Amino acid sequence: MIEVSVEAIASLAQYYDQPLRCFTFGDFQLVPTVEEFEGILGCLLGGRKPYLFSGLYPSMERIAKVVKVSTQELD
Amino acid sequence: MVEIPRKHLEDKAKALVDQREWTSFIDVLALLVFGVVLFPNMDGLVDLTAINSFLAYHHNKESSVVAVLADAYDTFDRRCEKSSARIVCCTPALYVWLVFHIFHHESKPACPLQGHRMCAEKGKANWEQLLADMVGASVNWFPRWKERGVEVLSSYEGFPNVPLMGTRGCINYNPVLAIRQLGYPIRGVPSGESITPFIARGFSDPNAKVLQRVRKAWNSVQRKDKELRKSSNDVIGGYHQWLKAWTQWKTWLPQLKISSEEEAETPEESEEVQALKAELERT
Repeated sequence: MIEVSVEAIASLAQYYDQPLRCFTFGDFQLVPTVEEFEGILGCLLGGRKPYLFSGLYPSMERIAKVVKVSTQELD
Repeated sequence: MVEIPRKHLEDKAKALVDQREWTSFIDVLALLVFGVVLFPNMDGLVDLTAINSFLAYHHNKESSVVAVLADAYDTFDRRCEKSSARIVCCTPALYVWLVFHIFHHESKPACPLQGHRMCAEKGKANWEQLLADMVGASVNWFPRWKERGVEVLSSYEGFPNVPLMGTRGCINYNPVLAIRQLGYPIRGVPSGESITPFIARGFSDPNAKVLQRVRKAWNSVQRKDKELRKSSNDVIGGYHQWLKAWTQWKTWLPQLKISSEEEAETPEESEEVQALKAELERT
């Protein structure tokens, strides 16, 4: 379990450079990349194929089946 | 719209333990991780976007890394437009990422998470001051876990940079600016094309065509076993001049001025940081 420093994230947020999509500091820039996030999360998150939202949400029946609840409970 | 309260799933997980239904227990626990850690929701609900990405993982072993990263960019992007917008993304991943770029370590961790646990300084840091004092030469561009090799993603068909797709839409980032994070020196000024911004919020009709292009690009993306170079944080060419000109007019950059000694002795949190902290504590 990672205990996140709220101060760290709040401080970092101030450096976000919207047009360049990175964190711009005085003489350098840092960019969160797919490769690095794969290093952080990759072992947990399954295969290579990236999850890309299809535009369609799953049916309640499908969800209910996985979490073993009745569809009424999801309403 | 289906949303499941977190509490409901936690109770379900406990009940499954009592019933010794281990396979279902693991599924419910995984769904909680998706809904609480990877794709958090402002209201403490496990929402349909989290459920959908969990099902893609569960049934098809699809990786949520790209979506997690997209949502991080998305939340910072929205904050630029509305400063009261809350930071809603996988902050643990972002925090690990930040820590390994800020602190240096001699040991060679097996993975970034191990390195993160070994880093004792992070807990003692005054982050606002630390980030204000950072210069390029002190950044840990190439943390040692990368020495095991990283497969680098190469071009995306039809896009000049990386079009991420998350749970709230699409947003790009620019690998040309991340070259030092692969252990290579940054050379010169990035071309205008390579940093072309791209954003599509939401998935409904006006965006449908472009979202199709993004899906196509990801389905044909190539990976290279690129040889990473160790820790070269050089700058070759006019990058610094370009960056200086770029930041000159940026009033949003908080701390580019060099703090006076007096300020350094008694660093105070700016109002914005205080507001952000309060905001994050609520999430």
